[in-house]
Amino acid sequence: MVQAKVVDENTQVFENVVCPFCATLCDDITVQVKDNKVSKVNGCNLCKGVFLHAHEDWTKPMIDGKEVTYDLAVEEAAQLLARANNPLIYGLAATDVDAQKKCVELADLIGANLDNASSV
Amino acid sequence: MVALQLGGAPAATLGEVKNRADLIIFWGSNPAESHPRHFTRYSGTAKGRMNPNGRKDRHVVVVDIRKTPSVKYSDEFIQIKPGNDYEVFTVMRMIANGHIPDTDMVGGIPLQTLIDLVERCKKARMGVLFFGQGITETKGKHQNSTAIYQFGKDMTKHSKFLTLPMRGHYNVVGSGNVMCWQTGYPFAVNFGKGYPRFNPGEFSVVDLLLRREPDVAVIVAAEPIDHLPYAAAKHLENIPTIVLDPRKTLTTKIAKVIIPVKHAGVSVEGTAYRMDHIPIKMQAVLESPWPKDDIPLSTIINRIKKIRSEEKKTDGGKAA
Amino acid sequence: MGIRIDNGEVIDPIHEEDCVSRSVHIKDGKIVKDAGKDAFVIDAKDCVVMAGGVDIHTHVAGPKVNFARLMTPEDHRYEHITREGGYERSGTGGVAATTYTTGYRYAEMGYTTIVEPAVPPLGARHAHEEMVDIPMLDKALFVLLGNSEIIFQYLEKGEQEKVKEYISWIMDATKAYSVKIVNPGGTNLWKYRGNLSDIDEKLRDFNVTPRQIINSIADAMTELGLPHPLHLHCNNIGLPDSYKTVIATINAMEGRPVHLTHLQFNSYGSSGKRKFNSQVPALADIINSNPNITIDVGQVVFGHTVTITADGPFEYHLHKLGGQKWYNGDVECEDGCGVVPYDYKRKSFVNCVQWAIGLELFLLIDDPWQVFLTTDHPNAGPFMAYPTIIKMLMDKDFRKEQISKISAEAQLEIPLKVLEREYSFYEIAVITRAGTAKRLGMTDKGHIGIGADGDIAIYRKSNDYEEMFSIPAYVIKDGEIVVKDGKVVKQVDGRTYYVKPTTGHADIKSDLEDFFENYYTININNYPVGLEYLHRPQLTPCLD
Ligand code: SF4
Ligand SMILES: [Zn+2]
Repeated sequence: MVQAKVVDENTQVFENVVCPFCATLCDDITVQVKDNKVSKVNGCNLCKGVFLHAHEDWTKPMIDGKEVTYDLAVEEAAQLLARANNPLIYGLAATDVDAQKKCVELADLIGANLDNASSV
Repeated sequence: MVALQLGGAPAATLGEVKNRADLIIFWGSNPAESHPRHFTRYSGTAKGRMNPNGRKDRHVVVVDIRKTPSVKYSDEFIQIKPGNDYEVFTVMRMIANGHIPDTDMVGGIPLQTLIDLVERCKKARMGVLFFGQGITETKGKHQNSTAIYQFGKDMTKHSKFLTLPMRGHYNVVGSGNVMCWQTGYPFAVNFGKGYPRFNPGEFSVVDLLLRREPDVAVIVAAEPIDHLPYAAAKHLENIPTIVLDPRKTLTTKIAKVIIPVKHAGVSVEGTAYRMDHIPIKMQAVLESPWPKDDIPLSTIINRIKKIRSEEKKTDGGKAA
Repeated sequence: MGIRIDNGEVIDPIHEEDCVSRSVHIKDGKIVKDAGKDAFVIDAKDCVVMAGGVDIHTHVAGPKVNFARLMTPEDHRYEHITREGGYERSGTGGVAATTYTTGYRYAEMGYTTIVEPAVPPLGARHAHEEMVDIPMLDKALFVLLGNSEIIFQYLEKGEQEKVKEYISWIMDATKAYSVKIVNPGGTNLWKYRGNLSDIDEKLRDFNVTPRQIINSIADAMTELGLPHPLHLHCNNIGLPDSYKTVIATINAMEGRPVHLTHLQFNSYGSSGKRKFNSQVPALADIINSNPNITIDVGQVVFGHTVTITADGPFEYHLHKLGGQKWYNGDVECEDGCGVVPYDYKRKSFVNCVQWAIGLELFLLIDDPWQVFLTTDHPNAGPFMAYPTIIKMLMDKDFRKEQISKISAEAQLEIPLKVLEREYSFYEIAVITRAGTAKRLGMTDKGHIGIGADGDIAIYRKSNDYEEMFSIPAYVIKDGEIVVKDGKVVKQVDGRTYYVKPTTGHADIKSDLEDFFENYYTININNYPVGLEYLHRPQLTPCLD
């Protein structure tokens, strides 16, 4: 595992980072992080867009627009899916393989439709 | 994808392009905007074993319906009329097989230009045709890709020739691979009968949503509200939609349930597959308080199993 | 709780036990002296008790296998399994089945260990990610090095110690168990649409020959003490007179240990009316007098399949012979791969000779410890055909009946028609578990001695050997009953075996950094596959 270089107390530099934006999947990105925000990154503009804004607009667990506990959000999802007749699972193209595997397993369990961005 | 299933393709990893390709064709693909570093890392200026001088050792052609920003990095721009790719590839295959059609223009391209291009492909040490969404998303869809792969196979009689799709999302190739090894199919799978069934026109997301069939949706790391045709995406507003995403999007706006997760490749490690199917391990550079997305998915799976077994018990009780 | 198997006939060729009536005790996942008073008792009356099967060569995971799945959607439609019984996951079949289905099918034949034999280094991460999804089985992978440009560079300069250091590094970087070579040099030339036909022919970009490649890698592997020796797919596969290449290769090995894989595909001569015939008698003679050699067969199975190999030029050849679909995937700096669906037909003279050649290898190689059962799944056919193949080996009447169904012209020419040998249970146990485990250097597998893995297959005796080996009464994995009457009753996960050879033979760090910078498209720091990709990783020690 590649270790981050520590510049000062609050700043770290990560090298050979993979850019999770397009399927060019560049793996030579250097990312500087200050106070858990990316302060510098050397990829293309699309890559900069990902990293420089990564700390913004984080989601919170919600049901019907109201903030709830994490467990409650997950429980609500399970209840909805346990009762679903014809569920759809869609996406997968912008996350990692572990999550993709779990999406297939969930689809298998509940008899869902499963699709990724290949068909679009 | 369907074209690959039907016929296969001559392909290679991008390092082969870097090391050996002396002819690069971007067809319906605009890497300068969609894959900005593709050109420098693999296809245009990259230096390799047989290309020690990088760009100077290659001839670069752009074929597109308009003069895209990629054209200024090319040696040759060929403008094609929209929707004519299949026809042009058919003619190129004829030319490659020694039949010159009796016409001056094909799809808005002078016949002689195509004859010259085919000649270049035949003489290349290694020719590579990268094709993009400009082709796969116009009418004809997989017929276009099929014609391209077929052209690549024809070319293999004369030279080393590769046909490679420019895939978009960073791990769309991973999703196709995982689905394929677990279900046999790379997308558009339905488990309604208890086993995987594949039917792109029936089980692909847009068709399903247009027919308003799904009664619950789970969206994992995607932006259907933004990316799918509005008529399809609209259905997601009418059913309970569960969204797993690290960040607020247009889709989280319409979600019934939002489950925050770590951002793969930003706040958590994980594997992604490059467009040429090479898997790479991503790093984490930020910290996030939320779990990685496979964790809530596992919790949901276990919860549903439990709910089902409890239901079975009560059902069994009734029967007895 | 332990398990005790009573009343069975134990066949354990590693301990020279041939149908010995004794109990077998299993506890905590291992064979023990005494499983204890509270052990669950299996009555194995009228059954033979063997160690779990060990497949030395089967393509079940990794990039090219997944392309085979991708390219055979029509096969998946006809065969599927649903989540029921012990199956926790549904899946689709056909020859290139999904991962979970693959695990279930192997277990249901009494197999508990398999080797995925052909993974290019860049595909290792992918192969491991798939292997985690193959349940029921212990697994290992071989990494492909026969077209490695890094090794070629060292060979040009005669830097053998660096070859050795690199092999050590790459095995650790891919978490591999051993090394396979496929068409040494030929796949590299395919990067220019070429191939080579002689083991002393030079490559185009490198001043190197196949002879140098195999000798250098074999020596390095011996010096590193890898538990399984060089696993070799020779040049000129599939072509008439390919047997000459095998003989030249065996001579070039000069007594070094080597496993020649799916030799069926390389046992062809060019005599006879059709200029295509069996050269097994000649090859078997050589193998019978060279104990350094083992082979697996790659038995042809009539019917539909899909071929997948790192031999890029061979797959193109097959495609030109009439294949509709063809996928080619060259791998930068390392190797190649091709995928072509194919049908073996009883009407085809060539296919029939190939089919007969497989059986001839089984029957003409005297020592079963030198010949192992494979179909080079799925290249010559699916592994699900093993019980049928066993029946052809054990029952000569059945075999003759099968011969009578093939092309009449082929029937006249094949040496098989006069062979009368029949395999015993003991010999079957050698070619399916004891011999393979021994050759793999997996000392806890393939036998039922104290301390061995608690992997057991119990088969009900029957005169129909096909049925007998298709439907084991019980299969036990790591001391748990996982299959009953040929059906999975419990899904379990296996281990992944890997080795970590010694390092420090030469300094290659800066060479590698330069090479990656110049020729690869992935950063050297992002290249190695960490142990986190393996499920239940099992380090196997190297030999001293
Ligand atoms: S750095 Fe640019 S080209 Fe590279 S993966 Fe990221 S978005 Fe794509
Ligand atoms: Zn093989």
